[in-house]
This record gives sequence, structure tokens and C-alpha cells, in this order.
Amino acid sequence: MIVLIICIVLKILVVVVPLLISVAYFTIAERKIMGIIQRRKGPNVIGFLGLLQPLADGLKLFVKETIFPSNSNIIIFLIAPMLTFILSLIGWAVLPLSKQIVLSDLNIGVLYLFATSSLSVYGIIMAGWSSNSKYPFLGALRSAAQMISYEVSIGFIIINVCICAGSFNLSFIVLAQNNVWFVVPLLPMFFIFCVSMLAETNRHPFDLPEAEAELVSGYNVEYSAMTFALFFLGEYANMLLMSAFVSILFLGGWLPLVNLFPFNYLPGSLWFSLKLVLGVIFFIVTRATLPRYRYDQLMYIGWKSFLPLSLGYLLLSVGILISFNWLPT
Amino acid sequence: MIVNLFFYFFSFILIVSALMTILSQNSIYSVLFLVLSFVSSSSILFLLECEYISLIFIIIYVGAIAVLFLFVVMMLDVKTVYLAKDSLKYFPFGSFIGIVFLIEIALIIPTTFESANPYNVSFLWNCYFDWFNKLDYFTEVMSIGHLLYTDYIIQFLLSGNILLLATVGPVTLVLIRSTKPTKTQVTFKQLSRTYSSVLHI
Repeated sequence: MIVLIICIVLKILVVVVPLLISVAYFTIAERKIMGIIQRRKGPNVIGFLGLLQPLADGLKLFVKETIFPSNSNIIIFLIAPMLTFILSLIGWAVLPLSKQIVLSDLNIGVLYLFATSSLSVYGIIMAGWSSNSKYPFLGALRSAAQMISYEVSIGFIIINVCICAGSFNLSFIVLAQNNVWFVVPLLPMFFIFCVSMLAETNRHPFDLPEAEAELVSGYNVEYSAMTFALFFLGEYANMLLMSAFVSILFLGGWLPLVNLFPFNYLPGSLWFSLKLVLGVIFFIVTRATLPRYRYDQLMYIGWKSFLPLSLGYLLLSVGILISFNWLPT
Repeated sequence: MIVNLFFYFFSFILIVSALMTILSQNSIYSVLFLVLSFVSSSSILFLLECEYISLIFIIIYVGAIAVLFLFVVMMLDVKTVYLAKDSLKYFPFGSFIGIVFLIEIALIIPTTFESANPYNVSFLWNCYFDWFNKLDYFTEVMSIGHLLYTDYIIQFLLSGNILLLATVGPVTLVLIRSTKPTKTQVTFKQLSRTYSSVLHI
């Protein structure tokens, strides 16, 4: 019994610890790549080429003082960052990292991921309300409306992929792309998913919840030190989760580029991480290049462009699958 | 053993949070306890291996409906309500509704599960089940689909129509045709403006 519990804890740690390290290096990758784009050096002092910078940042956030605003609701104020952080971690329980490497091969893993991403709005709403200040509150309201409206189109895209794969199981979805990755037949859905993923994780150009120009820093104005660090880690872990999700749904997960000798000799987890890095670079480059959207434009794109298009493409693909009798059993 | 422990843990949280939903003075706390009770009840469903139902429960009730609840309650000017004065006034009516629901559940449960008892070995129910096929071959989503699209197709279509009505109704209610033309911005026109067509000196 005790051995069993220790085994479970070890399994969880094997997933979580590399995830946190990769989050740390995500931040330095972001600063370096944005430095390259804007023709400056980026962090290069601490460690070789500045590679120890995220550890130093983490240490700084850890030893700083956590300040509680006097009129805030302290219990909810403390629960909110923890909830954000935990919800960004538990999504990784069902992601297949390679053919055999998966913590829990859930039969409806896609729905599980969708549920966790729809829950993550709670952390932001609670943070905005409990701070008892107008900027966090406005940021939380914006974020809630934005995440709910983009979840609808993400849901339709996921249904589209699941119909083509014939399963809700993430491993089955990857194996169904053995012949052709879903990015080829579902190319418009891939683009829409990439944009919706930016809105879902509150990233540029849709980072209206923390628009510096209008709302100072949005829902996390009042947070400092470790509570802020938990929000930060949660946001970046969510971005990694979304890039892993898009690589599983559309880019074939752990499958190699072509099933020939030098490519399929490499381990599947390497292919998976290469595709994940593609998603990460997409996040960073869009942040560096695009200006922020206006809020009504954001809502217009979500409800009037993406939702009808994803719904129509769902009908189209179902029609093609039924009429040619290609539905997977 | 562990599953039993988890079951007691989640049911304890469910009961406490359901009570706190009613009893807490702050309406935000009420909504958050409501969310906690949704999550713990869906965890109980997870322990009973009804993964699909429990995840759909989380996605719809927690991810969509309770968020909108919280959204509205947050924007209200929250004043603490003093329960003790009013609660006695509503007590008879509330207890009447509670007793009606209790009787309904007590009547429904025995009749629903009686006929479906798989271990019933009489002449009427003596049929051969390949339990391997029944339990392991179908995933849960598939078996729900098999039932929903064959036996319960009329109920399924009816509920779809009701939902359609519920979406069309509010749209027609809020659609006010105003006589004044509203100011709108056409993005394409805006973006295709050039210096030469706009600036005049």
C-alpha cells in the first residue's frame, strides 16, 4: 500500500518536475527570441549565455515579501493563484508523451483536457474579485468573457478532430494520423485552433485581461512575490499544455515526419518535443509581432467568424465522411 | 479500500459545501461552494467509473453555467443578507418542496433499477449475456450513443428542439429594430484607406 502510494507520487513527480523546468526555460526562450527580433541581446549575464537567469528570477520572487492588500478578501486572494497553478498542472496527466509514456491513458482524455482548460477561468475571476480594486476586476471580467467565448469554437474544432479519429482517446487520435496528419485535411481548423489558443491562454495579441496600457497589469496587479510567481508559472504551463494539445490533435504527436529510416529511428518523445517547441515559438513570435486587438474586435472574431466557420467545417467534414463511408469505426 | 476512502472524503465535502451554499452570508461564497459541490459530486461519479457523465457535468455546469452565475453575482453590489429574519417565513414552503422531491426519489429508485438488475435469475429474465462484450468491448461513450440514438431518439430530438427554441427566443426578444442607423465600422474599408485618399491640404 505504501509502496503503491510512493510509486504514484514518483510518477507524478516525473511528469511535473521536467514541466516546471521547461516552464523556466520557456521564459528565457521568450526573452532571448524577442531580443533577437527587436535587435538587442536579451539576458546574457547570469550563467553561460544567461542560461541561469530563470533560476535567479525564481529565487528573487521566492525571497520577496508577499503583500496582502488591506481590503482584500484574503482567503480567496490566496486560493486563486494556487488554483490557477494546480489546474495548469493536472492537464498533463492524460497527455501521451510517446507511444508508451503516458501517466493515465484515459478513454476520454480530450474531454478531460477541455474540462481543465474551462476550469482555469476560475482562478482569474477569483483573483480579480478578491483584490477589491477596479483594474483587477475589469481584467477578470474581460478574461471570463473572452475565455468562455473562445472555448465554444475550440470545442467544435476538437469534435471535428475526434470525428476524423473516431475516438476521444489522445493516443488513438495520434495513431489515427499514421497515414496523414490532421493538419492536411483540417487545415482551416488548425489555423483557427492556433488563434483560439492564443485567446484561451490570454496571450498577445489577445492579452486584454492584462493590457498594460489600460489596466496596469489586469487581474494580477495586487499580487506580489510567490503568489505572482504561481500565476506566472500557471500561465506558461498552460501555454505549454496548449502547444502539446495542438501537436497531438493536428501535428501527429509522437509520430515522425515521414516513416522512413533516419526519421523513425529517433525516439517518439523527441519528435513530440520538437512539435511542442514549434508551438512555443509560435506563441513568442506572435507576441513580438502583432499589436493588441480592441475588445469588440476580439468578440467579433470569436462569435461571428470562428464559431460559424468551425460549425460549418464540422458539417462539411461529417458530410464527406458519411457520403464516402469513411467514418472510422 | 482507497476508493472507499475517497468516496467518503468526497461525499463529506459534497454535503458540507451544499450546506454552506445555503448558509453562507456572502453570495460569492455561495456560488464558489456551489462550484465545489459540483466538482465533488462529479468526482464521486468518477469513482463509480462514469467518466463521461462526470466530465460533461464539469464542462457544462462548472465551466459554463456557474461561471456566468459568478460573473453576474460579482457585478452586483454585494450586501450581507441577514438570514435569520427571513428563513422562518420560507421554512414551510421549502420543507414542503423538499418532502415532495424526497417522495419522488423514493418512488423512482426502486422501479428504475428493478428491471435492469443483471443478476436477476428467473424465467422471465433468463437470457444469456456475454459479459466480456458488455463490459470491455464498448467504451462508455459508445454505449451511451447506442442507447441515445436508438431507444431514446424521440427524447433526444425533443430536447434538441427545446434547446433550439431557448436559443432563438432570447435573440428575438432583444432584437429591436431601431429607425436610426447605427454607426458601424467596416474593417476592410478602414484598413484600405491610404494617405492620398484621406489627406487633403
